[in-house]
Amino acid sequence: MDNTIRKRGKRTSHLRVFLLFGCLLTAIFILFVSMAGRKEFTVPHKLGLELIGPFQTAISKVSNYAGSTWDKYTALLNVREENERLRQELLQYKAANIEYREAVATNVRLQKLLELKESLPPPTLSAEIVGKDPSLWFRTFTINRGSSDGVQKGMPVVTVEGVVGQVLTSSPNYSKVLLATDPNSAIEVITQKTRVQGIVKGQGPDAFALHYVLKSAEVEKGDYVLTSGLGGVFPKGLMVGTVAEITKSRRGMFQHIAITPAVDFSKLEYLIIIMKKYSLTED
Amino acid sequence: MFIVIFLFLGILILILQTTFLQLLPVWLGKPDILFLLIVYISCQPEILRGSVVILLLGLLMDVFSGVFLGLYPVIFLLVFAFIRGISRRVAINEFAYQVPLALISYLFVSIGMFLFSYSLAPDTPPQWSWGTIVLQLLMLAVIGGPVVGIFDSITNFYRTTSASGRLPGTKSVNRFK
Repeated sequence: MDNTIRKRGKRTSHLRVFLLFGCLLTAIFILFVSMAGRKEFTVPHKLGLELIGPFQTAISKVSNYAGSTWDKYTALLNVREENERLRQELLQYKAANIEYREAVATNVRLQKLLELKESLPPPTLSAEIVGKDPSLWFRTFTINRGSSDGVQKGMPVVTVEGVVGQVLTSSPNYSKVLLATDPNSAIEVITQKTRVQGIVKGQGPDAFALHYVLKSAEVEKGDYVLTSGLGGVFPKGLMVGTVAEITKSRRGMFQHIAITPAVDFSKLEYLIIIMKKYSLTED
Repeated sequence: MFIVIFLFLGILILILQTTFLQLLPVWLGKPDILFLLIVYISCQPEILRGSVVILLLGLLMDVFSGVFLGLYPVIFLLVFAFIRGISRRVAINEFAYQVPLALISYLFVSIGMFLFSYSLAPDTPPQWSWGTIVLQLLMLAVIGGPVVGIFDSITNFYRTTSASGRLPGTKSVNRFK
């Protein structure tokens, strides 16, 4: 009995060994055949492929989608960072550009002022406007030059375009300038072509009126109005404005002449003060 | 403390009005916030301290605006007196009255300034422009509420701090006297 069982066990183990070797040999054979042959799928291969293929496709699509989404997400994070960086750079460049333009504009303005300064009788002093009159009824500016710089009451203030006004009061570091457009301002002038003299007075935010010109005097529309130098405050020949309108009413001795100012008072930034040894309008 | 706070506030507004607010386009007008402050102070129960602040602000305004020294103190004190006169009949320290009061006062002051300038230089009278005046009034009406609200909160802060720091036995200012 024991011998019979032992024999069966031996057979079984032999059979297993044979099967193992058989499979191994078959695989080696298939390998050799596939390597040496036409490498074509057999029916089982094809069937297996057809069965598994769709699942592969589906999972592949899902994983590809997930992968691409993740790639996009990570790329988006990078893009966001890059976008932010580019925006910052753009802002920096914009700011630099504005600074550059402002510097160029300031340079041009100062160059013009310098040219004017050289053409004016010395000494002159440049100043910057630091404040404007908030009232509707008066036209004054505050400038950053005062008595410590030698600025005194009555000194004329000009710009490249023409006459701005004159110094009204001054403290050690600041001065108040009465604009020529203020009704309380008066400048002695002469018309360029016809040499008619008169007094220009302020008339509102951007208008002058030429006073005391007799009806018999000949004044042309469009003629330039310049400082006459007679008042002793402004040097002769500074631009004041252009004759805009002439009205001769029946009553009165004088003409009504409207003048368009040469200076755009709303855009003033830098001014030139014409210094004098002694102020002419001191009390 | 009242004088210091409102004087400081007035100086701040004056600086803003002469610099930053000048950048506003002409068609928008230039809001006269300082005038609102003058009206607001005039509506407060502190008569003596209020008049001192108004006088000081008028003197300061003379420095930065106009040609005739002393004009603004007179105008501001006249506004103060006008509002104090009205306050005897109407409870003008109420929020609802202050902006209309400011508008009426502004109109009167504008007329007064025009007449004053006209009397000084009749040959070159200042231009009276209803458009500009109405624009200024509109501007005051629009910003009046929020600005007075800010002034109110500053006043409340001042009153609270001064009340908490008051010695026992001293009386507080009675707003409804």
